[in-house]
Amino acid sequence: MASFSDIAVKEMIALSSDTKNKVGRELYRAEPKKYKGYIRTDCSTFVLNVLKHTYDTVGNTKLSNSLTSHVTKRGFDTKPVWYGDLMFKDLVKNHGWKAIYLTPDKWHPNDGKEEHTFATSQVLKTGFYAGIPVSYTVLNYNPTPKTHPKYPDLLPYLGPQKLNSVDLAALNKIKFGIGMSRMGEHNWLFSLGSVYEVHWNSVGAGLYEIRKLPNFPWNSNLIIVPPDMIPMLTMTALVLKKKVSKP
Amino acid sequence: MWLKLGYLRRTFICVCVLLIVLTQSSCTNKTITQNYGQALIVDYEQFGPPQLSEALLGQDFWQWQTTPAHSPKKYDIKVVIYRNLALSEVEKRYPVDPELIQDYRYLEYSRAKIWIKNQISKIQEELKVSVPNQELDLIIYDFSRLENMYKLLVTLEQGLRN
Repeated sequence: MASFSDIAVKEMIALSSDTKNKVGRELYRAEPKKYKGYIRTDCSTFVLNVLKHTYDTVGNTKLSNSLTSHVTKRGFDTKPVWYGDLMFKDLVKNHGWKAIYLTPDKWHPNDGKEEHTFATSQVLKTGFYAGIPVSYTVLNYNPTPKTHPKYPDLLPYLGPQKLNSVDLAALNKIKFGIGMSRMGEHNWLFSLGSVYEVHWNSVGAGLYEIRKLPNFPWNSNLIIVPPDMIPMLTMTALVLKKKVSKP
Repeated sequence: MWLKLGYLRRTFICVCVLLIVLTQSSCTNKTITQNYGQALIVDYEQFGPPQLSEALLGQDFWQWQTTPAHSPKKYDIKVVIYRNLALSEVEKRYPVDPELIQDYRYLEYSRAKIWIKNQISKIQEELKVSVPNQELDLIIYDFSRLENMYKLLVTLEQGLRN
């Protein structure tokens, strides 16, 4: 009998191989007449469709039907929007999924943005990313070289980070996971070292993109894996430093 | 005794690190601020990570964009801090213009100052916990955040002197 992850991967590959009559939601919005009759999709729809199909197949329709209910209104939204964070939190807290925080370079993100170093520091100090409890980390899977123009932007005095190939190799063995970047603004799927994503401003061959994690341009990310993948989690476990009383 | 020595040693290391941080960053600071009398223009990033500054300054992507970017793009957003000046006047001087890709956020001086001082207090509180417990790189990062906030405060006070 196929496992949860086997079913999910099969669906993920089937969806990402079929671009016929599909268009990215943002592109459709820009040119509705041109893409009339096309099926609209985006990063969240891709993730939700795979999860929904998988939970329906294993017979958990209750959970399948609840996946889209995790909507929220952030500062810039005019109406409630589905971001990944609330669904991720529900899956981790209530359905046995486990979270892995990953960043290509702990202190020198190659876009020079502090959102990543801050996210990393919060995960290491508090054990949470976007309110989701983190169990494992994969840090420095693609360190920024000292010669990179963005290297000096943040914390240059901390020195270049060493490539952490051990944790990356462990992560590459994970058959299925769902990922998010920027606190759930971008969502994607993960399988055996590759990121599968939809670009909502594309159509045809550019609609889906599959690339190896080190080539994925987002600098602070979370992957959560279903219960059947837990025995495969051999990367560094996140252990919080205990508070000690002052001497 | 051992604990006390360990604590003192970590504090000493942190002070040394802070000195290095201050020396090095003053050499690498490339921020250009412009002072037009009662208003000071700084970069959005000078307020630290968007996870903290978004509530004060709004989204970290173009304000005319309704949804977040689908790529890790950096936006050149400016913050206009103004003092003894009507907001309408500031808006007239520094208009938001999507065609010219000109995104300004307006922030009144005293509000900015209170926010920065609050951030400084919070980071200092975090450091009290971090210094005896955390790895050195995390402590250095917190010192660097503290330094950035002090630098912003100094920029503010120098730029908008009465």
